Amino acid sequence: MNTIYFVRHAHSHYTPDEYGRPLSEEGIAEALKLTKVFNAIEIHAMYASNYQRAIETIQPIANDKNLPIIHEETLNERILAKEIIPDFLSAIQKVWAEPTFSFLGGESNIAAQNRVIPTIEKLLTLHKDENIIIGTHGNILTLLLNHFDKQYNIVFWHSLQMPDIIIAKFENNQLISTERLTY
Amino acid sequence: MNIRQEDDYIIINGFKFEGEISNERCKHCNSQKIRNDQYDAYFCPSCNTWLEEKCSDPYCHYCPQRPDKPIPEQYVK
Ligand SMILES: [Zn+2]
Ligand SMILES: [Zn+2]
Repeated sequence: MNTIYFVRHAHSHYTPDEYGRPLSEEGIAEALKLTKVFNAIEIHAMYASNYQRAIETIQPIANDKNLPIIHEETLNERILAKEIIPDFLSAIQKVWAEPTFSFLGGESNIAAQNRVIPTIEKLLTLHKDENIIIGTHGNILTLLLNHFDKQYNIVFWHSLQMPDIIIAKFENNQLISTERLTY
Repeated sequence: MNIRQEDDYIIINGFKFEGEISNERCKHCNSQKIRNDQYDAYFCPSCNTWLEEKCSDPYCHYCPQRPDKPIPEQYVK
């Protein structure tokens, strides 16, 4: 059995630098609270996308547990399009309605799943019977869960908070259950 | 413009909200930045503009309900 604590990043204001945009002030405060949440939970390894906001969200936990955060580009947020899309919500509805559809320079649902799932499978093999934290993003989290179980869809994405913790349990590379860690 | 801090509140010409006055300054006019806690964002009271873009989450607790102007028209003097 593997347990993955998926941590969706805390609040972060938009800047054109998608990689470097930091947490907002509220985001930093929320990230600090997470150390308490994970205080009594044994964690064996920590991973994050290589976006600043995902790393900053779990950095206080890493400091507390004295664990390194391993950056994986494949855990990055789904790229919706190359240019900024004015009607973000309609664009998101479109890609979820048509899993192979992509905007110019963007990733379809299927394409994003194809790049994230091998990483998840690798981590499941590497961390058998262990608990790991993955710092990631709303859309890619929903997409990777959706690969295992179609109940994780656009409605699930809507329900995600900033930050949010989803505990996912896996057995033999299959998703057994998920639960929101409330605190 | 009359700006006061009272405990956790800022009052600008009678417009009251939770926030604080920052030591950092606006790049355009050098006024001290002010933070509005409800929207988790800083603004410049002199320029009456937000100094941070909204995030990209349409279901965010903070950003979608943020008004275009930090100080409503009727309080700008
Ligand atoms: Zn200004
Ligand atoms: Zn926001």
